[in-house]
Amino acid sequence: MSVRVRLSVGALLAGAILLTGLLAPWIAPYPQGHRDAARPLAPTGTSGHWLGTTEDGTDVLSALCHGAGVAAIVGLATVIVSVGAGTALGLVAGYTGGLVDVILMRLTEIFLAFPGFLLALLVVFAVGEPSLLAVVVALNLTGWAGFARLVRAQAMTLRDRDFVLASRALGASTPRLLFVHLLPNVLGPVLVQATFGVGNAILAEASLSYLGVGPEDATSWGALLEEGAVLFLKTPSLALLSGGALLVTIIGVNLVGDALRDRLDPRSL
Amino acid sequence: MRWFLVRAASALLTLAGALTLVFLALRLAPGDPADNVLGADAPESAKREFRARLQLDAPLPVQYAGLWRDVFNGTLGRCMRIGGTERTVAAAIAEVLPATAELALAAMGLALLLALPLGLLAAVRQGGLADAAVLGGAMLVAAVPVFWLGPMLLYAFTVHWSFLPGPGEPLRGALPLVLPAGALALGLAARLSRIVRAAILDVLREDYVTAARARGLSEARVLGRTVLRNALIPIVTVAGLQLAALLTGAIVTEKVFARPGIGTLLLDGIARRDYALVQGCVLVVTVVYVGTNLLLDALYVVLDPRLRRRAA
Repeated sequence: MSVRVRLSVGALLAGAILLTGLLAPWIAPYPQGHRDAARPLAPTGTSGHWLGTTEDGTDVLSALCHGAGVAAIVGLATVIVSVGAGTALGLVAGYTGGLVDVILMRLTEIFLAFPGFLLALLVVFAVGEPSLLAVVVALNLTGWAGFARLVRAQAMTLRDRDFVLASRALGASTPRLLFVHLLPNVLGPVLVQATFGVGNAILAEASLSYLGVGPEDATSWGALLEEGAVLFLKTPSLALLSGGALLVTIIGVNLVGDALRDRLDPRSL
Repeated sequence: MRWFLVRAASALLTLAGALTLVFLALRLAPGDPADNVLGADAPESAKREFRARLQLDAPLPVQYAGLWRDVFNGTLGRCMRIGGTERTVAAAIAEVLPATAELALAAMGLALLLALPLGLLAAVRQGGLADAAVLGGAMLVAAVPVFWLGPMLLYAFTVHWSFLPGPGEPLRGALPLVLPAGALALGLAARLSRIVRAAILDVLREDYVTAARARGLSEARVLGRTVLRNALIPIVTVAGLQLAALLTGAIVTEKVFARPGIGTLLLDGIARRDYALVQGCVLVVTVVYVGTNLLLDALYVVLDPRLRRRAA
């Protein structure tokens, strides 16, 4: 598949699902938490519940829409915070060098050496009844480290380039050098990594929810999948639909990441 | 040797940092563990007793010292209660660790068994149909979460065709390992096959490969001895980096297939809000992860003579 096709197909798939999620409060047939207690486990095609209901009477179509909302919020919020923090630390470490670099990178290595999902699991567990915000914070605890290392490596190669030396000679301040001159030049690889980061965050949240420690205040595809797996023999549609939604989103995001990588960074794998 | 000692010291420092991170994550999270475990309505006396037993009422530095004491005496603290008898976290983990190791190693082996020939095929036929099939298939399979693939495989092989044992049935021989290891291995194989392809393509462009062909070596010999051997370093690196994903995947896989293991133990600890057990499980997984990365670093030196000279 050409880069353009991958980019278009991926953006269409991921964009449609993430947009559905962000608009879920307005377009989902029923609001979050609504239960039709009179009709548990309604089959697909039931009037008023076209994709059926779960064991507690939750409309599956609405749950899928609200689940897309959770995926969109977790994916985007995690990556925005991780990219922001990681890029700022990486730029400072790579440009400044010396002791600042040693300390920041040692810290980064500790976070990178830690299986991130486990730390998120630990934090979500410690919180007790985690909110969506707590899950996003937990996923960000290690998320920034990869970006910090990536940006630092880029900043180190850029800091002695002529355009940086010229701006410094002209009296540009360090923040100006970092954010006006260096930042635009490191954004390519960061954008590629961030795209994959969206998919990873969505998958990590779904895994947490599948394990029963996801957000308590939101409907997650992972939790639907867990219920669907238990009820698979009675009603296979729940597992198939929630898993399918997750799969399509991840494939879409990965297609975009893959295409961006080929376009922006031809040396990479 | 000196190089390895420096690396080992750095790994120990990382572990100490990770241990501190685990400690802080549990202590600084909002909410009172006594409320979480006993319920907010529990009598204050019971909560006080609970905090005293887990040393949660002690100042933070004293709790931190207690954590290190538990690590150094090898107990990792005491489980709150399993089946009426109190025992150490280390004993509980030691009992289930072999099952997780078996699952992770089987999955890694299976993934390499799939990824090496597929990656080699895609590289040799670069731009062709086989290459497109491997790349496309890898992208598709890598996106399938193990907690979706697992139930589907379970349904297909244990209910629909019923020729493999289902979850919770007695584990005998290698057969009950096939489905969990397979489910865990597929995603890993997808990611690794792309790396194998890229690594082999890089090596194929090297002058020494052209030289080997010019000396009249057969293509099979060139690929098997010269190319694959030189491509091993990036492959080993990524396989090592995938270990975190593999261990995380093992936790989910154990839940899907109701297998005993450190993941099941961890989830059990979470369900019973056993702080020491959860902390211990996370620590042991981290030690395995950091330790394996250290071993991989040592392995590079064995694989690459250039690094061997530098390390000496």
